[in-house]
Amino acid sequence: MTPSDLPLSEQTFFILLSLASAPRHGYAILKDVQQLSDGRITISVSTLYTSLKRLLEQGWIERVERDTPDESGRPRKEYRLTRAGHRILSSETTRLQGLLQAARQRLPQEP
Amino acid sequence: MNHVTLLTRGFSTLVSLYPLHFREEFGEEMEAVFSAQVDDQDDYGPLPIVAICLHEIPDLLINLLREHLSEFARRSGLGNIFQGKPVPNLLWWGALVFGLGSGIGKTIGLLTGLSTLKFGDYTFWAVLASFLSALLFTGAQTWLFWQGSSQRENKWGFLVPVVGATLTSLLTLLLSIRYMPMGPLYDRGEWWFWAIDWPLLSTMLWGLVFGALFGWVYQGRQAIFRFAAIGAMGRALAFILWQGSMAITYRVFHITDELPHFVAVNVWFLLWNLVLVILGGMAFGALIGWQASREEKHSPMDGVAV
Repeated sequence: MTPSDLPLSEQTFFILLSLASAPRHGYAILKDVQQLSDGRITISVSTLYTSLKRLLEQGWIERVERDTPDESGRPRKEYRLTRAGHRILSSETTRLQGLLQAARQRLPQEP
Repeated sequence: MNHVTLLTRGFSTLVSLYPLHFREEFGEEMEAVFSAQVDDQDDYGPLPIVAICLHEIPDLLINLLREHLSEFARRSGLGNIFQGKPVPNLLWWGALVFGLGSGIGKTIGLLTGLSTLKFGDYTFWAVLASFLSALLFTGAQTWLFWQGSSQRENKWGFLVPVVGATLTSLLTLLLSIRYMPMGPLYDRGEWWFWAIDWPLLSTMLWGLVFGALFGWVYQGRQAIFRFAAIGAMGRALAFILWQGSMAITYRVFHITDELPHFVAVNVWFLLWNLVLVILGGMAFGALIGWQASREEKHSPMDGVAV
């Protein structure tokens, strides 16, 4: 991980976050990201796979093939977070917490 | 065929436009995900499906372009430049950059130079324009070669583009002062006079100094003479190519005026000049790059790709 890796884009952050709890296939990631962001972020299929390709190249996620095939009989491909992926996600979360903390100290609390 | 299958087929057609290796890796998955997405929304009427398509198609076109660019950068080695990695095919990129750069630079110089002679004294601007344009092309070439060089620690690297640009602006100044009408000379079949006169010598001197500096910066002192010779030869070749072809151009266009007019024929004149200078510049860039590649291959230093 290099300092230039941070901050993560919102999309990348949510994709990594989606894979943090369990490996998922493409469609499950799309739906999960939408749910995690309260419907605010809808990733298109092409953007999802462009991002997955980049994340695979960076070594933040890896591909796993499930024994159980999908509906069309093809082996189901899932993605899971690697150790490097976990590290970057933690670093980004820490960074965001820092920002939040600073903002909370300065901004008046809402009643 | 129902609309879900139709849309999925349309999507598959667009996916088939992706670069091969991307398609092979993700194509089937993308189609499956899109199909599942459309299938899920099918029960809610046509609007959600239209929304999916409106969201998907522009994104797909942008990502398609991005993937092709990234594939191009990967295959050509250009992507390495931006990641600070050694660049393969350095020779050809160097030649291309130098050729294009010198073509554009020289045409700007020529335009400004002709304005100087025809419309008044704009010599200062001609010199400035050629300095800046030369700084652009020698700088770009130097930077490109720098990426694959083992001599990055040489702190005098910046001198290569600066000296290249200074020499070019000096040449422009000399040409502005010493300009003589070429048309009648070409017309009388005396173009050879121009090919061996001082413009050739001065351009060779340009190549000599630039080559020597380039060799010193990239390969160290032992390479100064080799690169100086190659620089001078390369510039001479480029110049003779340009000058010889211009002589033919003059004959073809029957230019006999002291200075060509800035309409009609001059558009072709400048375009033709641009092509010739680009070719000449590429020949020069390739010669220098070829020598640099050879030297780097024999360099004992690790991690150098040529």
